[in-house]
Amino acid sequence: MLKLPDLQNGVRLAVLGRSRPEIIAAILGEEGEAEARLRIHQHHILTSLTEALKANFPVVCRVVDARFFGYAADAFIRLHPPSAPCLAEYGAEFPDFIRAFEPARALPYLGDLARLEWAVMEARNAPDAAPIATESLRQVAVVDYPDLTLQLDPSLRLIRTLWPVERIWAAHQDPKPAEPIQLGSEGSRLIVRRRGAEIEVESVEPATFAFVAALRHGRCLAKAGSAGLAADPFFDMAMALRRLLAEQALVGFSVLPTRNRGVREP
Amino acid sequence: MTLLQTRYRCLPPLTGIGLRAPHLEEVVAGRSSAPWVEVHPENYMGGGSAAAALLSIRRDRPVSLHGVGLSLGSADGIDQRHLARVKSLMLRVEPFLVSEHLSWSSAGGAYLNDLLPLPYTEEALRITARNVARVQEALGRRLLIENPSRYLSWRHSAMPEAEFLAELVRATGCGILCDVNNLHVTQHNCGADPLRWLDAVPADAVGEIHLAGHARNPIDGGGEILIDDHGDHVAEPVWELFAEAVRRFPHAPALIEWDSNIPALSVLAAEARAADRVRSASAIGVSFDAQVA
Repeated sequence: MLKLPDLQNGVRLAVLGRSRPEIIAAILGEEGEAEARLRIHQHHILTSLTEALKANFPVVCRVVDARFFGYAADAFIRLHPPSAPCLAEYGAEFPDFIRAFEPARALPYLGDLARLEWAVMEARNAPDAAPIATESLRQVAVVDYPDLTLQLDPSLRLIRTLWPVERIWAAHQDPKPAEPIQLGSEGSRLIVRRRGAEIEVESVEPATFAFVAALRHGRCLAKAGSAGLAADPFFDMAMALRRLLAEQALVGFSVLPTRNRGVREP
Repeated sequence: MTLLQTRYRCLPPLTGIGLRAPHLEEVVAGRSSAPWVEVHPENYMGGGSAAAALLSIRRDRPVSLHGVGLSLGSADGIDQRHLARVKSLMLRVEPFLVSEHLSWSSAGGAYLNDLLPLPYTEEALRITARNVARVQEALGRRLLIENPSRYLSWRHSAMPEAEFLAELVRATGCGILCDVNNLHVTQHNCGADPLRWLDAVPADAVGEIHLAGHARNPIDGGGEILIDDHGDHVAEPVWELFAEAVRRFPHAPALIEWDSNIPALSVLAAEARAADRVRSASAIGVSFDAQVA
């Protein structure tokens, strides 16, 4: 008699495409009928997970067409079934998978487009957080500014891409912008955020991108500013900071005594 | 009228609807008369608009949480992270019912997104009871456990489903969600007797009844198999089973589920009203054709 752990692991392997004769033998009915009955579950699992991937990567699906997407999704699901029940969060490995997927070689930007869609999905599902007001930063002493760390909106994601994927993405949203997309044009640095119920995808300058990326990694203001300056010697940190505040992208701050400063204000 | 008074200690419960994404906005905007709604917690676990919409609906009417992801029959045990997320949503929504399925979905770290059938054995009973007890303890709530639609039977199953459920109720104090469409689908596919099932489960434990439509598909090797796709009106034999169920479980509220080919909200509302009429007819002891009325 099949023990429950063996039965469940056997069914998992069988529905993901491995031959498991001991599972078929444990199902009531002759072999062909038992296989057909198990296939009902397999069909439901593969089609419902394909639908979940379509929902999470709708633009990739429209770019390659639904049939090709289904073909890729089938291969992906067998390799990377979900590990948790929230299917709105299924597909973290899909961008890397589709980038390396041999039959999609002719579309080298697909991986980055999928990364952008994953960021959009994460932004959509990120927790809500109230933005801080400009005035609240006034309580920070000027001498502490270099050590200030700023918490960014939890929905904010950063993407560096070699392809104009934000324009491909935008062309598949409603209402669509009418401009043609030059695939050969320069890549971009993108900031993805949710504001209210809307998803914003913005292309930013290299210095702003480096600054925000450093903040997101928990770097203090001094180090984030240096990262911005390293990307562009004319980087204006005050302006970048004001913009983050105006766009309500900051949700908290703290002053960490990360180094021992020789001089303190009395 | 006397029968109505003896069967109910209060007004008969009204039928709710399973709320799905296409109808969310309409219900938030107050354009639904549904007395209560049921949702899958898995669809509301992120931040953002969906959870906010659900909380705004909760201000106007009772909400039931009907989980599909806890995998109560898994030998691997309960996914603690998922359980914590169910609990966090439950604390915000304050549902009047919390339910899950008598099935399994996870094995070896993979979540298979299907309500897979358990063998009804002592071993599976022990594992499921342990999982149900852990979930109930973590949530601080009684769970209602739903009978699944079955497409296959395990050779080594040693007891009928109703007995397995009755034992589970005895071991954990959980309740039962009686899905009459699933009873019908399982009867057709696997030959179980739904009336025997209705008689064999502890009537006091049944806290909710589900109604839904199903599809009829050909199966390889000939014959026909019923698929529980929740994609159609409630079928006539399922209405008949529903009438039997409400006679036995008069206080369990019923729910209309519709998950594929989802129609207008008004169609679901009409289906719920039909269920209310079957219940009233059953209460006063007359037979009633839900489709015609």
